[in-house]
Amino acid sequence: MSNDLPAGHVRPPRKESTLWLLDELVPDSGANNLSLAIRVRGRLDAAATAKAVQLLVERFEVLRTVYHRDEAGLIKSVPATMAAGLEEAEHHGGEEDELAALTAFVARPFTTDGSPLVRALLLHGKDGDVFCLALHHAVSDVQSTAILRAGFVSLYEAVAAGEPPVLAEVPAWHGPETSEESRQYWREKMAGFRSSGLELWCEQREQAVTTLRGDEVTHVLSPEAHEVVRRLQRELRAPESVVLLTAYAVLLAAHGAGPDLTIGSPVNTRPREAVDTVGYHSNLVTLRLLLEQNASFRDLTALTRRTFMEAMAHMDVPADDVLDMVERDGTGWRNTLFKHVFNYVPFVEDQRTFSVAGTEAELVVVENGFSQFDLEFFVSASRETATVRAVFYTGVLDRADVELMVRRYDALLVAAGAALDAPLASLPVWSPQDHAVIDPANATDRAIALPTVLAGFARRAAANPTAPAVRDGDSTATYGTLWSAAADTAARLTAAGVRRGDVVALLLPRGAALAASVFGTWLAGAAYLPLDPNHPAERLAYQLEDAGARAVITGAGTEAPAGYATVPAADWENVPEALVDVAAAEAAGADDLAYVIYTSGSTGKPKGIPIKHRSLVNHIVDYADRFGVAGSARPTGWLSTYSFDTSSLELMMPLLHGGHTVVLPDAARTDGDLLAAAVTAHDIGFLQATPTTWRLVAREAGEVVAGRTILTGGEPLPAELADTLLAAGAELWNVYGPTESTIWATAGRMSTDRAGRVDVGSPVANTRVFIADPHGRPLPVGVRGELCVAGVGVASGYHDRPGLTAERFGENAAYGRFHRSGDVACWRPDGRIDLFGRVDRQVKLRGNRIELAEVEAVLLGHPDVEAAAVVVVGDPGADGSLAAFVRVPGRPEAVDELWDHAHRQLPRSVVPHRFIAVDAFPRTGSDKVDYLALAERAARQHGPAIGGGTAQAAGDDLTATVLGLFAELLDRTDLDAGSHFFANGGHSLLAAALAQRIKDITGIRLALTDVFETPTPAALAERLRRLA
Amino acid sequence: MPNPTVWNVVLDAGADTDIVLAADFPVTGRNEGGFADLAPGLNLDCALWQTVAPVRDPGTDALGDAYLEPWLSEVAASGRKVRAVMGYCAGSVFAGVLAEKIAAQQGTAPRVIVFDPELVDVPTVHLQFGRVIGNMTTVLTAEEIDELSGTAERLVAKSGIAPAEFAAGLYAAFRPIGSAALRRAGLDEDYAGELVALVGSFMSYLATAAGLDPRPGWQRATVITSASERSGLNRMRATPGIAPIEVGDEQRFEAEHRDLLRTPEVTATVAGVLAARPGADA
Repeated sequence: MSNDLPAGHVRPPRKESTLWLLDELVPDSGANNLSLAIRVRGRLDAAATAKAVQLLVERFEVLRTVYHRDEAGLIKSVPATMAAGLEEAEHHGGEEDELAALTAFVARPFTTDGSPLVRALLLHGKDGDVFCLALHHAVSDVQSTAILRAGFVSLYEAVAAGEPPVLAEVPAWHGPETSEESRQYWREKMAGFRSSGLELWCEQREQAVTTLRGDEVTHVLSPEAHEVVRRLQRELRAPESVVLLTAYAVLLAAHGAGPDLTIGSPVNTRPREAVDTVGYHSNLVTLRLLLEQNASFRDLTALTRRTFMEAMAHMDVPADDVLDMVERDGTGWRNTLFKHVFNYVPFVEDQRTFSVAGTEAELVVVENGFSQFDLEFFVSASRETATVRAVFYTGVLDRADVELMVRRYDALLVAAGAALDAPLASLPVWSPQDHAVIDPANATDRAIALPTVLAGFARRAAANPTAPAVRDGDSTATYGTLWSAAADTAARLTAAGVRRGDVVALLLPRGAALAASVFGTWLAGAAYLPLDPNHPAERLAYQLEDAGARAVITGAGTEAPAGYATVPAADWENVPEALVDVAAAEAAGADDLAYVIYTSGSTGKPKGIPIKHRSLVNHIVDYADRFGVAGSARPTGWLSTYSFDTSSLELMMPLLHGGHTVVLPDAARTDGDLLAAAVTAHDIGFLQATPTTWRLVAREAGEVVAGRTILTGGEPLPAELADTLLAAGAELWNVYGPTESTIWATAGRMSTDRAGRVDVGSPVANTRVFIADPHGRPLPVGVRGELCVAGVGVASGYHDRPGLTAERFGENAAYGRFHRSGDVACWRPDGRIDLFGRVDRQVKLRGNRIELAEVEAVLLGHPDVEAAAVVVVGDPGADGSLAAFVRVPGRPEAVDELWDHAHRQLPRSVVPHRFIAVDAFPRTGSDKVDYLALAERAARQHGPAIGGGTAQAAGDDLTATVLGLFAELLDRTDLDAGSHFFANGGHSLLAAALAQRIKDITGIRLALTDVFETPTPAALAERLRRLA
Repeated sequence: MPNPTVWNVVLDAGADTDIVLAADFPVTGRNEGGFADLAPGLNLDCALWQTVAPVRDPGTDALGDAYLEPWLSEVAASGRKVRAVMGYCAGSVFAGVLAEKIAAQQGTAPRVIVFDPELVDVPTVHLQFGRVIGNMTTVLTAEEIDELSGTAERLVAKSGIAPAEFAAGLYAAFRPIGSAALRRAGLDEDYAGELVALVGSFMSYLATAAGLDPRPGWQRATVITSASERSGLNRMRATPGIAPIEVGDEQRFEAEHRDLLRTPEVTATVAGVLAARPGADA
């Protein structure tokens, strides 16, 4: 093909066309632009500058290179002459304005329309001038800029002195062909590498559009860290660059990359005889390091040194060729060899400051404002100091995260210096800032005087027996009545054979009778097992048997399964009055069990969790203070089902402070009006519910929450709902906690000026949270891992399940006994915690990390979506797709808008392929959404998600438009979004007509080949969206 | 970036797997099964690349080896091993020739599987051109159709006309008439030009195929033959003057030519042939 080209025109080599591909994929970016900027303390002569630039271009042939494009691809040529030109501009501000002007100049894209790939600017400032050269990477590299600096200075000086030199042209230099030996080296080196292991746990979700917009953070290494670097060069007999690179690798690993880790490293590929050539003669070599947990810093430094030396010996193979040797993960086109780059910049004093025609001058670093890599460290070191400049892609990392990362790099160097032979995993990577955020959040120590909730209730009952305790319908149980009923219950339990340490099941609805049963069980020295009368008989029977219940307390309309001693609940309205005996409360000790509660995970049978009085009272005391129930004259609402541990705080908080609780009907959980009426009638001051209930309230009676404390937990709180409730005037708390660590472990009050993701606050009293990496190491701020709860609320384990207990509970040296929640979370910079859904709901679909909860959160952002559940259908590694089940009861047709809604906010790989409206989600025994059942249903309903075979509805306007054109052009009425254009009578002419009509309607020009390659309405609509 | 430009990746199995190549000209948007239909059922553990026909004018552009060169060099540049080459209809010619050249390039001979292979002769070009015109009867006037078919008849009547010359002549006649008709039908200049160029590209594809000798490659090929009498070996055998075509193995199916690549039995057979790859992995 190249022999068709005119003389002097060639197809560029692959490494050059790859550069241009980047310009094409991220249009209007100057991601490939390099700069040379010289600031002089005085003025540069514009004419002499222009002349010097012209001479530079005449001298270096490569600078005259231009690119064109024809249908077969790029064509490169070098015109014999080229007018270089010099732009002039001025600014009147300080260095910031100067830098802004220079950055804008450098970032301006170059194109393949035959225009020059070098341009020059003379920027006049208040106190001096800056000369700036912007060059495309295809004709230069970092080394070139140093050569061009010297060239420009000498040419300028000669021109200014009136002696323009006659220079021989330096022809463009072409590097040698890559050797087969090198290619073989890289094939072996990169065998089996998968780039999906490079992701950091602090990365943001990939953006829908790749911008490569960059930012940077600069950090001067502490004297301690710098001292370590200098010392380790000697101790480890490794160059400074290798020591710094090793620490970078450890830093990345501590943030989740690896253990099969790659780092890119730029190298100058000029051989000795070509050191002075200008052009693109650099390469990014891939350093692949297999990190072993037990390896020490000393070991890894040796490995890094060896890897680096080997890579240098085989640097003749361009990175793009190496890229072909690895398997591609995911659908993105970025960074499949490495995502993180390390640059060592040896500091040479005279390169920064020099003189131009007798005037003092210095180099200015001008970035192009883009970052091709997720993170690139430029470390420059002199004898006295070392500086890290971290450039990062803002689409993946936040500035706050990178600021912490450079500080952790510093801390890590210091730690490594003190423990060269310790396993890498044991090196602390927290920065002082991490400690300053997390340590105070965990400083929750507080002395709790009460031994049990029972003791607290007894004191209140003795002090004021006539005060109302539980309002139940039209009747009210006073503290005295409740005590009497509890004492009566205890006596009857004892008579039925219940002994200290036994378990007594409570099978009755919320009300004063249930409250009396709770306290009565404790007075008998037993622990209660709360059962939901609405649960199936088998489930109840299983719990009774597994817990070894001694007796069952039944209420109106409930009956115990056969074989259990039944004790009817106290007839509290008619029970004989008993004097409150505070000492009797000692029947329950702080270390005795208060209750055993059953939860079911996503799989397996429900498991019993025994909770001690010490844990329960700690949390109830904290909540009552925190949520303002202590000291409030208004009652608390008792709305939650008692088989959930959350219900106990609605009963117990007020009873520790002389207040009362109001029993609210079950129906109020799903009827906003009913709930609002009850809240108003009783002037309830505190109410807890799930987001589902709050959504109903917000929609039907939002104003009722004004001035009341409301608590939401158990499910993620959508940001929109939080804002609605806050706007309505509620004092809103979002809470979080696994049952295994007693009710809620964290709580956060939402502020009206909140924005973004809704956090779950920070740990409650005597509770500590840490976010663990897969090896159990506590992670610093902003890094996602598994949330673990330690502290007084943590249960001893699961009842009678030693295997599961060993799996889910552990001991941490710093935090003590803890429970692994199975939830993904991270610390925020304000010491609060962000949750990201379940560990097992993080999936990888064709290499792309997907947090299903994130997708659900976006869907919930649509005003008509009341609930969303997203599942993976099929094999996530192969034909898997995402199906979204949604509840849109108010406006069922809204389901058709969801694709567009999701597409606007999510990267393409994460947008669900199907949206299915349902009336209700299947639930597991413990009332969690049954995702497994949904996935099965999605697979059953639709079969494999391919076009043609199954009818597909036109899921959105654009698809419907395209489908309409199909129907019209093919004169068919039986087509759907999956219909194949050519299988239904289409041919090339009709395809052209289709493309034309689409262009007329949408303004987007499809190529004919688009129709050939994506011949269904759905696929064409998708392609149009990408082109839009 | 590793994505090939003159090959269309039908199946992507990672950067260092073998490749199976397929030669076809599917972009006429015909109602025939293509390799994209065949691919899913093959259960390949390697990639499947299909030819992208270059935009060429059969009258002015160099065909022959220059036409094949981009395909071959991109395969060579990939550094990957070609396990098999397939071809459909006239694409079988390219399959046979590419297989031989690749065998020389990589040292091992890829398998050859061809579906209704046909040598391209003047009647083939005539027939295919007739299909192109047939698709355009709604925009061409009766006079234009007459003029085009008259030109075709006149060219055919020229004794000893080569298929390439014939294709070039047809395209030269078609280009002005087609452009005008498509503009008249409401297509803008771009689309009309694109579509006309596509016809030129198709004619170049046929003209090139006509100048190549696929028989050495076909000698060791597995041939899949349909039940259509006017296609593949069925037509070759019924055409006087064509020497018997030697093939490695022939499998016949009760399927029409146009359904050949989307017939499950065919897919199963081809999957079996591709799975058995003696000596493929040294």
